[in-house]
Order: sequence, then structure tokens, then C-alpha cells
Amino acid sequence: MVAVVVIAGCGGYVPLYRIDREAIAEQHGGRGSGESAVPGRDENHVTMAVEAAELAVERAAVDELDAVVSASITDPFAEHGIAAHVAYRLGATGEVRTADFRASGRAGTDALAFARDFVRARDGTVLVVAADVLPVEPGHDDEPYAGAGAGAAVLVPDAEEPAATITAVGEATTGFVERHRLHDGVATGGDGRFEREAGFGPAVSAAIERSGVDDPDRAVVAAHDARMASGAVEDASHESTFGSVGYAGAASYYLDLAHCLEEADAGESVVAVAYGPGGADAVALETGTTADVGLTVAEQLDSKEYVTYAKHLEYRERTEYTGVTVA
Amino acid sequence: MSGPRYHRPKRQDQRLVAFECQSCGWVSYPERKRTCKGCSAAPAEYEEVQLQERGEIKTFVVQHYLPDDIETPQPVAIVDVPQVGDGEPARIYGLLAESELDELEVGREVEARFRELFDDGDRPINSFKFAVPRGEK
Repeated sequence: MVAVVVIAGCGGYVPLYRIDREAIAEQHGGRGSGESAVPGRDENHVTMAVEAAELAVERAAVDELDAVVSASITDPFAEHGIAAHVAYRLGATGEVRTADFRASGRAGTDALAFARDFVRARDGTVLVVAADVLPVEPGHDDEPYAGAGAGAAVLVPDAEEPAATITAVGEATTGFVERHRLHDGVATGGDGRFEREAGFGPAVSAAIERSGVDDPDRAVVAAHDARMASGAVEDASHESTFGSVGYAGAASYYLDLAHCLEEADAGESVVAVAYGPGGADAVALETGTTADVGLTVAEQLDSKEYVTYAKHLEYRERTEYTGVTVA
Repeated sequence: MSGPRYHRPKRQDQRLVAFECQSCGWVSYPERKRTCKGCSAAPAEYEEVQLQERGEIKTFVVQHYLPDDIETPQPVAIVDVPQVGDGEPARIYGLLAESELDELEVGREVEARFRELFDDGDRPINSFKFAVPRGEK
């Protein structure tokens, strides 16, 4: 069995469009700071996943994939999936394992842990990809922070110049649920303070402790509440795209991870945590070198166009073809 | 070939596979035309070729009146897409995405972007559009 698993390549995808949170505040009152990513009208979970996956695969410089694993908490399909379609686009068909992880912000690390186990058991190459578009309801508290994006990582047993080495995965399944969401609906947040004290805190601290990380240089903490996440790891540089992208579900984990690995020097220690209904996971990493291929997350954050409030709503909705209107 | 309408061209749509006439080198895309438009060979003998994910605008027009699921104004272009390796480029009719009108001109290099072209009921049909490279925006 392979002992150590490395991330050969990692990449993020941030859609071009943004909504200024001030523009949302103008509609519904209050104040807004920062911005959130809005998918193009012709983008969906599979197309965004492919954007991130192609970048990660190119950076990893791998020829074949043995498994493609996806994570998403907003895929609108009950039957359809993401992984197999990304695999087809990348030419990874035939004897290729696929899996789609769902239902919790923790899906990103569920997928990563599965991929790591797959690499160790079968000495294979695994692409993990996450894509999400958070639904909005006009005037809802979460509307300014509903993000969109995708991120991906390629895991292999070994690489000459890996982007990072995974040294451990700490798991903390608690069964705790406060924030929850029905299909096609917006989230019911519940009591934020209760969630922080009874759910987030115990799960994240247990997961980090089990990962064995001590005093990391950098931290990624993907959760629906940026303020809650920012206090999770003391004395580490928090790498977060929340202020520019919003909460992008399982994709936030990979966007933040890609951003962290692109910004870090080789040899730094990182703990990358994902929290969601049911618990948290903490992945311990040592950074390597990210290949200078494609656009970094930071470059994509700079490359943007603002849309109006109306477009922000319209672009997130699936358009139903109704034929040519007769005037 | 029989089968559901949107299954048949899936390799062309998602992997940019095209068909090169073995008599004259003309490239058929996305369909495998029975009669070669380059040399009129019928039935033409083709070999599959792989296209690059980039191309050059040969001409374009801006559409203002289209079905509701296409946002207007929508620039559409004839794009020459080179093969991976030697051979003639495929001349493709493509939609342009995320491109401002003042960014477009004949001779402009564009990159292929995987996007939802339309839907078949609930099911999105994904294929390629073309766009000004994101890094140049």
C-alpha cells in the first residue's frame, strides 16, 4: 500500500461575473461589503467543474485518470451526476471509477479522503473536483454571500514536484446539524452562535487535533460563515476567497486550497478544514510547487465584470426555452 | 447512425473530434458530411482528427433577435480551429461567450470554452463556445 499521497496539481475556477454586495443592499436595505461570484448564463456545474479540472490535470501533467470524484451541495440533478461527465470530457472513460459526494459542505473533504484512500489502495491517479452555485432568494440573509465556482486537485502516489503532500487527514463526524437546506431552496441558518459553540467549534478542533497539525503556517477553513471560519485556527494565515467569491459550497474548499497553494512558498505547513452538516475534516499538508500554468485564483479574482442585481438573479436561474415570442 | 439526437455528436461536441477528407484534406465538423465540401468526393473517406482548443475569428456578426435561452446581443463567428498536428483547420460556426463587442475583430485569437449551448428538456447540452482569453480581459 502507498503510504504518502501527493497533490500533483490543483486549480480553481472563478466565473467572470460578480455582484457587488452593495448592489444587493441597495435593493433590500442594510450594508454590504465585498462581492460574490455569479455564474454566466451558459455555465452549469459540469462546465465549471471541467474548467477547474482541466487546469488541475494540466498542472499535474498526468496522462491518465483512474478515478474521477466530484463534490457538490447544489447540483440540481437527483440523477445525472457530475463526475462521469467531467471524466468523459477529459477522455477518462472505460475502466474508471467515478463517485459523486453530496449533502454537506464537508463533501469536499469526503471526496478528498475517498480519493486519498483510492490512491493508497490502488496506486492510481484520482481527479477530485467540486462545483457549486448557491441558490438565492431575493432579500434572504444569505443572498449577498451566495457564491459560485469550482476547484480541483489531482492526487497521485508520488510526483517529482508536487503542489503539496498530504501528511494526514483528521476526521470528526459529530452528527450535528443546524444549518440545513432543501433541494432548490435557500438555507435555514438556525442559531449561529449555537452552531459555532456546539457544532463548528467541537468538530473543527477535534478534526485538527486528529490531523496532527501543530501551529501551521497557513489555514484554509471552508464554511458557510466566514466570521466563524476565520477564528478556527489561531496564529495561521487564513486563505479565503469568501470576500470575493462568497460561499461556494464544496467548491469553496478547493478554491481556497488552490489559492493557498499558489500563494505559499515550498515547505510551508497547511491545515485545510471543511465544515458542514454532520461534522468536519482537517487535511494536513506540506506545500510544494504549483506549476506556472493557467490563471491563478488571484488572477481570476482580478479578472471580473460586475453585473446588475437583475442579472445576478437571472444568471443563477436555469432558463427554460419557450420558443420564439410572436410580437 | 441511429440513437438519441444529442448522443450522436457527443465526441465532436465535447472532445472536438473532427473528420479530415483523405482526398483533399478538408476538415468536416461537427458532422461527417457524406460529400466532401473541398473536393466533392462522394462518399468521402475521412480520418478522425483532434482539434485544438483555440482558433482565429475569420468573420463575425452580432445577432440581436434569438430564442429566449440565448442572451442577446450574441456575437456569432466563423472560427478557423487548427488541428493538433499538421493539416487544414476546421472552419467552425461558433457562439462567442463573455466577449465585449469592442474586443472582437477579424483575425482575433479566441479560446474554446466549455459551456451550456442549450438544453434538452431539463438536461443541459454542453459543448464549446469561443471567447477572448480570460487572461487578456
